[in-house]
Amino acid sequence: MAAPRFSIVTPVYETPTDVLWLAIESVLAQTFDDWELCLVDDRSPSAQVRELLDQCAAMDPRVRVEHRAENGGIVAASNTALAMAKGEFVALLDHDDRLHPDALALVHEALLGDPEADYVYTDEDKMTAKGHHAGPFLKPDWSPERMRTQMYTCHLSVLRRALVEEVGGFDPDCEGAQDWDLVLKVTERARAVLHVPRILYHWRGIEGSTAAAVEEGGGEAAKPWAFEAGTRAIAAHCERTGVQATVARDAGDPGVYHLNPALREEPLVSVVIPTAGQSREVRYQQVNLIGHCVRSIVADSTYRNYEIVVVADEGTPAEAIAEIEAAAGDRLRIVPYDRPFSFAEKINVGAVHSRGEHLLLLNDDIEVATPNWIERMVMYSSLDGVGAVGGLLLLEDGRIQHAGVGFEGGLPGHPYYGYPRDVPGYANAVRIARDLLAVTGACLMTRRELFEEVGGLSSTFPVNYNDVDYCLKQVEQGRRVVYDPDLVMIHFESSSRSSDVAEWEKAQLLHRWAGLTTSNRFGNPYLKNEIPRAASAFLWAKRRKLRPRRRRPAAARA
Amino acid sequence: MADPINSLEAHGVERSAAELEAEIAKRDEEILRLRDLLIARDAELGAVKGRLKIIEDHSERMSRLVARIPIPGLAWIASAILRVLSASGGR
Repeated sequence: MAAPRFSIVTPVYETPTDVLWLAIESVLAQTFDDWELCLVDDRSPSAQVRELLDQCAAMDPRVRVEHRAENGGIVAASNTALAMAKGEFVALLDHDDRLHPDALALVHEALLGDPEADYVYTDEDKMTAKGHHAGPFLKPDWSPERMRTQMYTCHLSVLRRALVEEVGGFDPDCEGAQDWDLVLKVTERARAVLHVPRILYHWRGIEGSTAAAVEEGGGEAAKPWAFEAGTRAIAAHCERTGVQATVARDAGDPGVYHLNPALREEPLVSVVIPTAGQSREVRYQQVNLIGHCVRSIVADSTYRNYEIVVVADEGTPAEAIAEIEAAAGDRLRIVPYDRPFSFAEKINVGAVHSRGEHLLLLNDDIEVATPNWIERMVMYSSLDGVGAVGGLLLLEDGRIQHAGVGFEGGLPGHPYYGYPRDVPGYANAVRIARDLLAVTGACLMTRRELFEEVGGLSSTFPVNYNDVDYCLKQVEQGRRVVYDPDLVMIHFESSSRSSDVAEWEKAQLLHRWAGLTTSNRFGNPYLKNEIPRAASAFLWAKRRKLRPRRRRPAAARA
Repeated sequence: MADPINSLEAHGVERSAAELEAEIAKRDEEILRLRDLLIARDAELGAVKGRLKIIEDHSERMSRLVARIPIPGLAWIASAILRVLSASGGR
């Protein structure tokens, strides 16, 4: 018999038989036929579970069952199931969850479109004990940075079996987060990763399950070891991939992790700040913005190896220059600028006069609120494949000014603008590191070689959108743009000029980038402004029964 | 309120430079304390404004949805319910 396309791997332990049957039935109901179901009973005490599995195996030759001689836990049982698998790909299904009838068909279709893909994941939702669907998780396309701070791909995960075997299957040291660890290992070697933006997996929240616990906000209590295992899995991944970081768990949400920089060296960073030397009131005190900004960098940064390049307009007051000279001393380089205002050109001129390996573009109305902000940026900027890094910017009163740039109708905007700082965002989007199409240029780091490769900021966007355009140029080159939620800065927004965007600027951006921005791959077709669209409810609508339902086996009826 | 320093001078009460400096320092300290209070209040106000923004955005989304209901009577009832809910949410 030829190897099937998919092996569905399901370890089973003492599952309520009605729930187990529904999980198995969801596989039997697949509209795609080329699969096998590898069920491994991890020595369930209940004879009924074993009986049901045997009855299911008798119903369909594609259902294969193995009974373990002794209980070994989830990792051992999963590895037994992997050893049974003969398919080209393995799909992971928990014993109490359900697949959408089209799950395998749509994954197969996606794989036909990209035969090099080694890992495919889909959107998911949760099922209540009564079988009602809730909490759709509409995911972005592949985001390695997000994967380091949140197990967001989760269900349904389909992995190329050869690669799973190459990385040694499930790791017993990561029991509880074994799937996260496996996906990290596989994606480190994967040629391509695909996302199917459809809810094809239903995660059941039965008592004691992680889904139920997470829904109630008490995941930690249900499986505390799982979250510790998550820390180990990420730390090992960072070690393997050269991410110079330690891992910390979020104080509030057990499913969220943070990377803290542990740099082995400090390359020279050039902080490039364009200014006109303007003043404004900051916290009830009149300050010169560039002076305030430079003083804050010097006083609050823990990074040592940096220079500050201030590109100053002709009319910059002498007191402002004197103030920054006194604050920054030898670190400072002042570049005079005598042409009409162009943020893009000022940054480019500053870059030419700087020496750093990394360029840090900074507005003069920014204040440092995270002492290791430069370390955080270097941690990401040093990674292969990262084109730009940005952070969480707050307004003076603590509300969110920037938590990454989103796109609606091809035009950029700031999702969560004006929201309180503690808002988690959709699926924790504000709290986790993630890849985006763009971040604001008010505080952006990029490697000099990459900056030069794409020609710096485009002077065709002198005032607005030059930062978005820059990020999109990096994305076009196949690089990632990273948002780091732990890099917090204060932005006294648009103090120095009007924030109005001209129609020609919008038209130009659309003309150049509509292909990338209208189908924002870090959004989701069913999300609008990071909120599920009304239409997403139809994703849960009951489907026409494509296959006659199987008769429930006797063991599942009790 | 009359300025105590000027009023003291007006009444011919002489004070040493040291006393005046101490007085000024005390006042500066008080100004800083009041400024910090204002900043803390601004942060509280920011948090409230942020929550209000969430409610406003939600309400706007709902209004847009209601506007898309094709049956006029039903749309009116839905928008009335929404108005009542927003009003109670605002309190």
